[in-house]
Amino acid sequence: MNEGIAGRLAKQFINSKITPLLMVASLLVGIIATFMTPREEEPQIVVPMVDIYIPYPGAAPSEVEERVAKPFERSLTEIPGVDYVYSTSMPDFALVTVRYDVGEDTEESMVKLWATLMKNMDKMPQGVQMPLMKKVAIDDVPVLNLTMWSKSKDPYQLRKTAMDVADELKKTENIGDVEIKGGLKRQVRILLDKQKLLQYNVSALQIARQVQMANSQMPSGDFKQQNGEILVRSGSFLESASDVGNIVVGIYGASPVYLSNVASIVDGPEEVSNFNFFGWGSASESKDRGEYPAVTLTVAKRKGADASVLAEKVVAKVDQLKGSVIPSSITVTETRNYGETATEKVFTLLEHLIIAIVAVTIVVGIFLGWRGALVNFVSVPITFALTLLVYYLLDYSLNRVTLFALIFVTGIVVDDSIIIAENIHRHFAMKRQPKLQAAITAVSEVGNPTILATFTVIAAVLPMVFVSGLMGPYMSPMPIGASLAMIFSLLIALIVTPWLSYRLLKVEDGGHAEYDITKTGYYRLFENILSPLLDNSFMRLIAFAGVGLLLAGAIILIPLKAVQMKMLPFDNKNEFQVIVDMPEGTALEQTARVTKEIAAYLKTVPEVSSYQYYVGTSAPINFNGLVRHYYLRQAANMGDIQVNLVHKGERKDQSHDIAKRVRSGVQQIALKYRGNAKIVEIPPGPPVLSTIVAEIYGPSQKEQIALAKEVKRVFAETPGVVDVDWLLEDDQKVYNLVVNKERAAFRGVSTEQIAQTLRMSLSGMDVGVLHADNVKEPVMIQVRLPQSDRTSLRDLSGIFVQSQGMGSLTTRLRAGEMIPLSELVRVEEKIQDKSIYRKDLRRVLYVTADVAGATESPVYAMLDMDKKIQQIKVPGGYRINPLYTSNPAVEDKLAMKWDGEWQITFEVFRDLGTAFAVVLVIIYLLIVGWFQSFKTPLIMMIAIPLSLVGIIPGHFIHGAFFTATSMIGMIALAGIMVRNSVLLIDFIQIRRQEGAELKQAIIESAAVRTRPIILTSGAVVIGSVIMLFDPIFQGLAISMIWGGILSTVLTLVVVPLVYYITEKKSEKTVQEAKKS
Amino acid sequence: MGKRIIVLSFLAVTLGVISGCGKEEPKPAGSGQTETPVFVKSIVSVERRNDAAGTEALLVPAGAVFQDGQLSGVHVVDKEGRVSVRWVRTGRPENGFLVILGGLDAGEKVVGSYEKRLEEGVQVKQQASVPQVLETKEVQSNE
Repeated sequence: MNEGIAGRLAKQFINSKITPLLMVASLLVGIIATFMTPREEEPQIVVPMVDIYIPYPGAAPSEVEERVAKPFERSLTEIPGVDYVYSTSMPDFALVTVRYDVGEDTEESMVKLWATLMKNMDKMPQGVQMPLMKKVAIDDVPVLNLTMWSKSKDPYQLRKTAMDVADELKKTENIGDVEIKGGLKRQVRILLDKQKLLQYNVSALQIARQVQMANSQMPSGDFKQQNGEILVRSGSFLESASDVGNIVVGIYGASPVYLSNVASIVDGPEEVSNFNFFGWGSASESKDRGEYPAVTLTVAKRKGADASVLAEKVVAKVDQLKGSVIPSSITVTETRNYGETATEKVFTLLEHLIIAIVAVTIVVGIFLGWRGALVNFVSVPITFALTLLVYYLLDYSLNRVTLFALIFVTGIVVDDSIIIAENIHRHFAMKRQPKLQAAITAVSEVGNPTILATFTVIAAVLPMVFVSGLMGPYMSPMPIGASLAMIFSLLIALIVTPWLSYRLLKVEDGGHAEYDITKTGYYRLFENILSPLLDNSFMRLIAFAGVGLLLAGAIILIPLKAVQMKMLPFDNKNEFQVIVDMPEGTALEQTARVTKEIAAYLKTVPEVSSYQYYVGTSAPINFNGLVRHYYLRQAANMGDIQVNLVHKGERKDQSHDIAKRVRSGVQQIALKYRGNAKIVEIPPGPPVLSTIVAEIYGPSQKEQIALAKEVKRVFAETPGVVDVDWLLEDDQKVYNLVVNKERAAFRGVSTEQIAQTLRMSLSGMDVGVLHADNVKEPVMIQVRLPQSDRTSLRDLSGIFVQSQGMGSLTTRLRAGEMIPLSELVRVEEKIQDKSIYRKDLRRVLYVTADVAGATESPVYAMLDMDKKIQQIKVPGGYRINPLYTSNPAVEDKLAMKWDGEWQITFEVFRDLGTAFAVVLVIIYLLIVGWFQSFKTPLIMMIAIPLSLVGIIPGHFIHGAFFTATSMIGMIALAGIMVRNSVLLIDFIQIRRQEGAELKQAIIESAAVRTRPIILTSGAVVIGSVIMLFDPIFQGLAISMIWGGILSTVLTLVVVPLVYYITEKKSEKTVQEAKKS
Repeated sequence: MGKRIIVLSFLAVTLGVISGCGKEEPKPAGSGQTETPVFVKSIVSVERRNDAAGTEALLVPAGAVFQDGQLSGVHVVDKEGRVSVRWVRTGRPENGFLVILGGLDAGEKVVGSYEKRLEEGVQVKQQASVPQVLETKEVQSNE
């Protein structure tokens, strides 16, 4: 028999001394690689996103849009590689977000972007300030959050301690950004006394100027003297509050007016700008039910660093600091540790791998005896070791995506070894040849079809690399890892397995009868099943009809919604977030109160271990928040609650179920105060603005808002659609102080003076930095009115500005006279202009929602709502047909487009579908190449649709969604099933060449091949069982298990039958030729 | 017979779990002290009044407001008589009262004079049935 590559390889290595060395070496490098590869929670996804802030103080949103956002957007779309351009025009500034095609080089994109920005700066109107460009990177997401809270210390002291700790932590190797959330900064506050100012004839502006001028120091030069140089320095910095108080701000009569005469100077915490509290939940061991002021220290890591190592180091360091830098009255609680979760994930995977390997070994053991099992048990870990090594070399980190790839291949990498070992075992049992010869013959016999089969499986998974969009980076480790693992497993099957089999498998002694295939149980089985079908064409027809019915029955489950499609199900996380949005214009304290009430409710949920809430400042972001711009949530009307659950091993419900359970309670509280609260879970896949997003386009903002209102109502009415909101601010009252130009001119006061005085009085103005020793954060000196003096319009009347005199148009007025503001301005009350959102150069309004409960998949909710949206009456009397994949063609009519998770779902299933089509073609080509027939490959590929018979009902039985991972399972299964057919038909052809009659050859080969086919499919099934309990991988497991079982059984019957039908004619001619 | 035992034990386990759940059911914070409410000098409601200059403002007795570092708070008493801390923003004082700029609604009940021993979730009762306003005024004048 022709040995082929497989046989030759086996011959080379079967007795070589190098083989065991190779085995040991591979194992060792694999183990080392496992420990060297950095571990982290999220995959290293380059979020190709850049935020550009363009300040344009004083401009209304419409002006910002017209003068700043629009021209920038237009020039940005010229840059190649730019995918989307979003902009938000707010009062005083524009935020432009640029999204690149995934995979673009970040540095290069930044440079291009900067160049474009600079090119257009000259076109910007007067008053536009320097833009700020910020790259949004995955490594900005903190891997470790340490919340420091105390029963006796206040936010000011907490922040100071946190600063000291942060300073120490920064010394740690590989640490990224260390940030402090919450607490109050040190500030020197100059609280103006209105009466005194008037009395001493000093204005606020004058004070600001004097403080700025007093706070300077400068080298003046040097004297050269007697061969030496003496440096001269002049001025001095303000170093303490008393320094500030002693500044002379004016002259009254003949005596100087000190700042302390007209203002009180406080060196201490800034005015309360945020509320940040920590509390234990019901599930914690602590019975303490109070809540305490807290600050959160967030630690990010450097790119490429190992999250778990860094987290360990930081935690150890913090432990060291306890007692010295951290007083015993401050408790440090870990409120996020991605290092730990990453390590946990890695170990769960290793556990899964070992369980899978042991399970497969046991199955093999049942069929081939313990010696055969041992052969597999040794060869599988070597495959994994090599795959891990390649991951390390390719700079992948061990994260939830790469680990998924490894779990995914567990079932399929054992196959090659099983097939080879099984055949060697069979040949040893047949005892037709001496042992060494038998082993090589066995390898040659199945080796080449195995090589072909391996490449079909690779061909099946590899096209997944081409999934585009944000989902791409989530997918690519899978095909790459799986393909490499397959190649390694093939090499090992051809090199190591024969070596091991030759030594481990025994040729049983004793006078066995000559091996006869017809006496085995398999043969009798197939004789009974196949013979009647082969002989009787009517029976055959019934069999085909039966299979066809099964297939149709399975597929119909999808339109019947018995099996629902969803992109990715929610993972079982140990945390979720609550986002509280109060109407714009809500006071910080009111937001804090609502947030606190929600937190108090969440505290009673039995699974909650602890919570922190952040009002007026954003919570530490996660990957989801990064994409949704949650780090900008710093206004007084916004609050975030970070809820930590007990470890998933200690609770029954999954995090998604808990989130669903608490949703209505949380929303009721928020609603009571006219607020909106959303439960935000960390999505398993790429984050989007919201699960359901309706983009509303239209000719004017007014019409857009009207339509959005209707759409929002439809959302709210649809069962299963929750957390409905829109990106539109509520009406906020604005007092517009209009300066009376004439009067101001006559009085010698400029508009700028008035504006600055008002700003200084109300929001305060930083006039310098305190140059004190030993401060970790800059201490600002701020001039402002005390809080009790700036509560109403009436308070403004007490504010005076100083006449410039000289600059005034009249000479009757002497300079320096104090003029009350109320004389110069007129108050207009109005509503704050709304922000203007634009996407890809079109004005847009977003209505957002989530799905939970009645329906979990956004697509069904969207289809549901489509009908209702079409019934909405719009001016002009046309229908709104929600768009799915394209932007509206015209802008003068109202239009709506679905976005959110749908966009990604659409892209992924489109790309996967295309990939699958390409897969089929490649597999076809491969088999044509091997069998040199156009017909045979088609027969083999019949097995592919047959897998649906198992996959879809499988999802129905488990009540699971058909997800992207299910689809991946289906694609991989296609490769595996074709492999089975290849092995089957290859053997039939070998037997026919040896002279067997067609029917005999079919039954015989079915009998001979059943064992390896059941073994390999069994390995896939058993290897996948462990994944059934993971919410994300469940779909993959169901596809592999049910698809595997059903299509294996059907393949063994249907493929031989179809082969028989197609070959019947040629068989006749062969037989006739023989006869004649 | 065997089946019955299984059913019975199943029932037993379920009952056990249910009753266990009942025990673990989250009680409102501090409910341990439900039986012995803490007596406080006064509980007053937040008033909406015209301040000296004639604008509408929310007022609480100055003694009700406490300082925790920079944070100002009051003890709010809910319908069930339970105390919780509410952070507020205070404005100018108005003869014994403080203007509240944010954090409280008119009509809400607060503990009239701050007492440090009150903890979140404690049940409180007014000491004697003296008319509330009088009581407050007394407190104010004592200071």
